Amino acid sequence: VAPDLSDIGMTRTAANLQLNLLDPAAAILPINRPIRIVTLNEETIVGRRLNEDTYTVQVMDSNERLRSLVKAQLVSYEISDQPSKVATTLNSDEVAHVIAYLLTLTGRGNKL
Amino acid sequence: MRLIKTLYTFCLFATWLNSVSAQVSYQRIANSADEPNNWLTYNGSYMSQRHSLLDQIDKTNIDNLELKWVLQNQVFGAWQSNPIVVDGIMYITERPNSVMAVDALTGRVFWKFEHTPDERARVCCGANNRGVAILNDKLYMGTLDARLIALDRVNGKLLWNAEVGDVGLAYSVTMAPLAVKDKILVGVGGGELGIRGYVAAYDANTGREVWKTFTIPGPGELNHDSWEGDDWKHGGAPVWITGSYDVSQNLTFWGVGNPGPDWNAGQRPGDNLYSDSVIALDADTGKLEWYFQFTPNDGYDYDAVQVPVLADIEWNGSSKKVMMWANRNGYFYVLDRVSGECLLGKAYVRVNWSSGLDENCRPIPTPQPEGMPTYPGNQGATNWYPPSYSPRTGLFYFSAWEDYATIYFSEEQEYEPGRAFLGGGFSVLAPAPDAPTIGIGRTNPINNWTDEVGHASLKAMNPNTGEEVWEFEQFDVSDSGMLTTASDLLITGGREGYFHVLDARNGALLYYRNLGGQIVMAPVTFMTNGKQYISIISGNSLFTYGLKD
Repeated sequence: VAPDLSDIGMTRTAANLQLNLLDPAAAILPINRPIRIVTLNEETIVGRRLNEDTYTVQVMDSNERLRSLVKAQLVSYEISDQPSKVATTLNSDEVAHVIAYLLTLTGRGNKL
Repeated sequence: MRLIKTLYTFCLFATWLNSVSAQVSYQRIANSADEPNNWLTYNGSYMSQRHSLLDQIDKTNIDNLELKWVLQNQVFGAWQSNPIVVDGIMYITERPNSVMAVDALTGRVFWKFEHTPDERARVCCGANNRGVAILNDKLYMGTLDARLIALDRVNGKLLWNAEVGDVGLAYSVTMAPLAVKDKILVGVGGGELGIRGYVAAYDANTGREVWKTFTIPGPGELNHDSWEGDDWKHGGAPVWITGSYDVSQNLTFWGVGNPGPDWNAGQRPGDNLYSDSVIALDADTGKLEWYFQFTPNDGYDYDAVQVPVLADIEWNGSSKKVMMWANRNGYFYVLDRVSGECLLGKAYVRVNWSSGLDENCRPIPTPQPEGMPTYPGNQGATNWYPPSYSPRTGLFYFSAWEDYATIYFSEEQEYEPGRAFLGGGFSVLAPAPDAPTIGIGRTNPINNWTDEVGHASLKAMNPNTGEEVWEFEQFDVSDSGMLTTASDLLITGGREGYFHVLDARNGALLYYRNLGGQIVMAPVTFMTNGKQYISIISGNSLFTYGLKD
């Protein structure tokens, strides 16, 4: 379940994108944190948290299904602060190229 | 013929008598505990405990609660108003400055009065109005263009309209007025706009100003030397939340807001009295009897605009007249409301702008290095939303913001009349660059971040120890006030739009409903036709609940 990057160039600065590539743990947004939920009927749900409140949580599971869960009916609910990816192995020039490309993604069609 | 004349005279007399008895006299407000079926002031009583003696709705029947009616607001924006309820009629304000009289049983509107503020009106943080006051046969509302308006409570007709402040200099009134004896008391907003704050009293019948007490002392007055040069002339210290009144002392108590410019404390050296203080004013003359300052030379916007909650409690073996105060600066205080002496002060959230309080409860400042987070953040550890005190449980209840911090910056700013006077700014501490953060109010149904930026904690405090007895955490932060009842229910809301009912003794969740929009007021309860109701505003709707028939 990957985040939508189609307008990433509008919502991130070059510095943020660089941080995301070089040190993803420091740059991960809350919405992109992997979650793992176990329900009272022993179902395990892995996915991404879309919304949450005091009593419920709405997620997109690994099968891209929308699920709304009542917290009182969960056995466990874990939010990882570790990203699902590791730091890039690209060299600095390659990182610069990737950032330049990402900045062109503005949600208004591909400028390239 | 004589019999007809006699009957006619009797009917006229009966009508007049009924009209007089239906008036809301000062004595009725002072003795509001005698008529718990009504909610006569912004905070339910002069003591501002927001504690109702009604007990028909209780823990055993709470599951039978059902929605009775909904009143839709016609104006977009945070609905911070608190209704009052008098003999089956609810009076509620709507943005920017409308008043409605509503049948409390059905939610149908009898009349609506609309005041259009002067186009020059300026407020920092939304076109808010928090409600009306009632006295005898009149309703009173402050306005965004700094007027005080009196209406006939039967037909909503305008009776008088008095100037409270200069709209051209960004004075405003957003609070519900306080009616005491034959006067209507209001304070002014504009702490982010370079005003010089005050509380003023007006003749309830004519609108004539009777007294005015500035919250920044002028030349020659006591504590004027807590300011340098001309800083006092535009030093803020607004009063934008309704005060309380102690009948036995004839004292009114008011929370005073931040000094200006907000975030550059170095630009206005000194303690900047009476900003961020509580002031005790004689109700007849406005004379300052005592003050207590929570945050001297504030550089964090820690307005002390919380409601002063008054109670007589046992303190070291004897009864004491106290004032309880969870402050925006992160400390909980208990003051002797006769002398202003601080009896207790203790942090209730993470605090790093100060390392603690000295023996007089003056904070020991520990300003954070530039670029580092300050706890609590700019919106405070709590704010204007009214707390509750239950004499039954002996606990003080309020909404706190936990784990919330901001990074401040300051800059020199020259005062310009009627313009924003901030002296810097801030950003909310976020878990990652560009991550969403908490702002003023909630405008988006999505929230998957506040557990990393801050969250609400409803706290029940023991005023004798300053210790938290229990807490109820929410995922989002909350700007919702509190209501307690004689059946030990604690009723509140939050930004998520949930209407929560808890056991006031232990915090156990008894009931909740999703009402869909942020709750930025405090619920009220009343009784009509022998049945108890609870009213709460969520989003743009006022919901009234009662037990199933």
